[in-house]
Amino acid sequence: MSTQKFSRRQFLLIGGSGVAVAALAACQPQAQPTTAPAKAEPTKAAAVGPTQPPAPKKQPDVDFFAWGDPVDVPAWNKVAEMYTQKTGNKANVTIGATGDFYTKLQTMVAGGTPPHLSSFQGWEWQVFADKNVLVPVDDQVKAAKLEDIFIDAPGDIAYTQRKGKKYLLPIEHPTMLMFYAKKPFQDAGLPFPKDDWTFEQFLEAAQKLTKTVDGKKQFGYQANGIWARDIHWMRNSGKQEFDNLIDPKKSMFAQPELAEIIQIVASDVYYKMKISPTPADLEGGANTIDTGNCAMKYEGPWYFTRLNNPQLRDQKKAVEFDVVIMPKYKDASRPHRCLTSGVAVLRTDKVDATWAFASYLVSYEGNKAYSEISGRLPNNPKGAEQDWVPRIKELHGVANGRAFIDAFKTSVVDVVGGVPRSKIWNEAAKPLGWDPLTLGTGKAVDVLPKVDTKVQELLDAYWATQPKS
Amino acid sequence: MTAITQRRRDSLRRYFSGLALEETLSGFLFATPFVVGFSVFIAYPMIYSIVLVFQNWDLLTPPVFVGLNNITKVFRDPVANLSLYNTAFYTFLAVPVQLGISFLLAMALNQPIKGRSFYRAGFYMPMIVPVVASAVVWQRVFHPEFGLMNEVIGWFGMEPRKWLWDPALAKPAFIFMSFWMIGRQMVIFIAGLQNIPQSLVEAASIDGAGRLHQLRHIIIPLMTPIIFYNMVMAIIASFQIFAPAMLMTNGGPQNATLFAVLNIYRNAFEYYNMGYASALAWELFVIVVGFTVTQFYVSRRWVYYETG
Repeated sequence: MSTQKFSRRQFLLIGGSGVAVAALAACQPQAQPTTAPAKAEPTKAAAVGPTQPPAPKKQPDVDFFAWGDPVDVPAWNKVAEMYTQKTGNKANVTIGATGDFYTKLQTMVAGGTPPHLSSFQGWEWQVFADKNVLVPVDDQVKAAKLEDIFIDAPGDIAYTQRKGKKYLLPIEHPTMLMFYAKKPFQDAGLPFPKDDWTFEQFLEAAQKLTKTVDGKKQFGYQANGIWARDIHWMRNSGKQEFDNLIDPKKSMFAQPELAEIIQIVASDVYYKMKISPTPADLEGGANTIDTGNCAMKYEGPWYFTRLNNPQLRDQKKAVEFDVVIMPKYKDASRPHRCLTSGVAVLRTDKVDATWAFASYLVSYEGNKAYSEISGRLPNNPKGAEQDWVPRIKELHGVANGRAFIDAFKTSVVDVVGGVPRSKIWNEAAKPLGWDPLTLGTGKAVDVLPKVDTKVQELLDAYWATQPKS
Repeated sequence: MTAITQRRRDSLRRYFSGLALEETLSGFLFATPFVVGFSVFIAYPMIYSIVLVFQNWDLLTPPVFVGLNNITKVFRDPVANLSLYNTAFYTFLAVPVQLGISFLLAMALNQPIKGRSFYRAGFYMPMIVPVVASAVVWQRVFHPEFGLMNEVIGWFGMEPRKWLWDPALAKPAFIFMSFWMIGRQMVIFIAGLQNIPQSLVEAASIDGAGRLHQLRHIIIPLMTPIIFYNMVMAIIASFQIFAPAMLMTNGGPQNATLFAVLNIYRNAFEYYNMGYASALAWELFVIVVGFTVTQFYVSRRWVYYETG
């Protein structure tokens, strides 16, 4: 019996060849490539027939690119598991970190490997729809009798529809309210705020709640210090930052009424009234409502679990809190921000299978499971009133949960269009406006005209690429 | 004519004969992993980014040819110019001090002191700490309320500062932070110091040269190739600063720490202006290459090579 040995040279040669072949193989397209969105025919998806949820027939696997907030991750996985149990079909959930979610999604689309279904915030999907990456789902929604997940409120319509067509299937219909920790109010002998309170009463309470106890700072309010979360205050001045909130053409940040309220909520609360920890004070997380060091904060339902849940109560770390409608300012209609988010079907070769999973995800059954795990507000009125309100009272001690549903009725959209809100923030509002304001190095009347100039540049650049109607 | 053709044929036959052919093939195959990797992950993206310089591409729709628009925009964009200023400010203040500190440390740790290996390892340790972890640590160091930095300046009666939240102090804070990462330079300096012939130092000593004279006339001249190498590498690395700014300040406050690479990243992956980001990347590439070439040119006047 002869033993043939490899020489070192032969071994390296074979190894090198293997690596080269593997590298070349890796460069090949996938075995089942998805259709490149830009090349797909725009009318193809519309011709696809609707599918009833849940799909009884065997469907190919679909890839779901899911929003990676920690509260959502177990919920996505659970609903995907339920879908498989119910239908025998499979949805592969890929979690996308929230910090660069859209970057990854856009890169996947550019690489010709888009997911079949993706999470979207209500204000971020419009650019994708305009570029023909998403599929409108009006026919499917109607056939599946899922209309009740769409709410007839201006904010919700703007966040789910584009040019008369439905694209976003809502997962939740949240708005944001004022959260207040009960203990600081009780310690100061102040009554809890009521839904009919005013802006002056809010500031007065915040000032009374700001003090130093045993060398420890206590703040009345935890300001957010970003444009998106100051939009509520701005809109309640009776003015808005754009000529239109859908596809704006003119930037109007520098109006006196807006400058007045922005000066207060983005700067004076830190440096003049000193009722809020500054952005620097907030670093490290010590001076927040989570630790009980701040009495009030503008937040949404996703924040419940951070403050109070059964585990925190067992550990004696829970912050007893409740919520209240935002205080009355100048606009008597008291508009609140709409923050609808959901999922949208991407234009691939698996639209039918994707719809089967998507429709289950947003159906009463799927959404109930999602909402129970994530704590988010359900996408349908029945689920919100009958299930969610009692549940958040039990789990988180929120007695005024109905306020979220009431506030949503007057909800307004932040802004949607070809220039996404994130772009306006990153390129204009943050560096030129909110940075100097929150650092105390600029006044609203001085910085907002600069914001307007830059935002107008972005809008003009966008409209220059659009066909003239 | 016929003779020349015949010679060429013979030459080709020899070239492709048995052993020669096998060796040529082996050579190519050995190099294939590198060639494939380099081609796919470096050369192709670089070449493609040149193509993108002349196009607008948002990743969702096909690229559109825009001629020289992106290049002219590079020179007119105040944010791009600010990012270059920030990068230059950081580089030209951080690198000389980094080199000075690491050289002094290397001198100290080249002495026969007790626990020398421990100190060497200790100063090199930050190099193996992940950038994210070190960014978190330094955020705590610069925290305005609980930070170590304010604690230390408080010992000297100075008021607490906002450091990373103050546009005037954010860049100096980053420069200070960069001194933590001098372990690699220090190790290279130590290696260089150990290569200096002791006979030269002893000869100078016999001739009456003190420590300072030895340093000035023997050690530093012999170390100039190492100083030059460390300087070139440190300048290139400083021009490419990205992760700490992304993690600690995200370019703020008021774009005070918006460095060139962070600006490129933002344009590419936050604003989806791939064409403009490519133009910015090539601008930085030209600056770094130009600067490096200039350094090599100037080095002829001050770098001493024993063999040269």
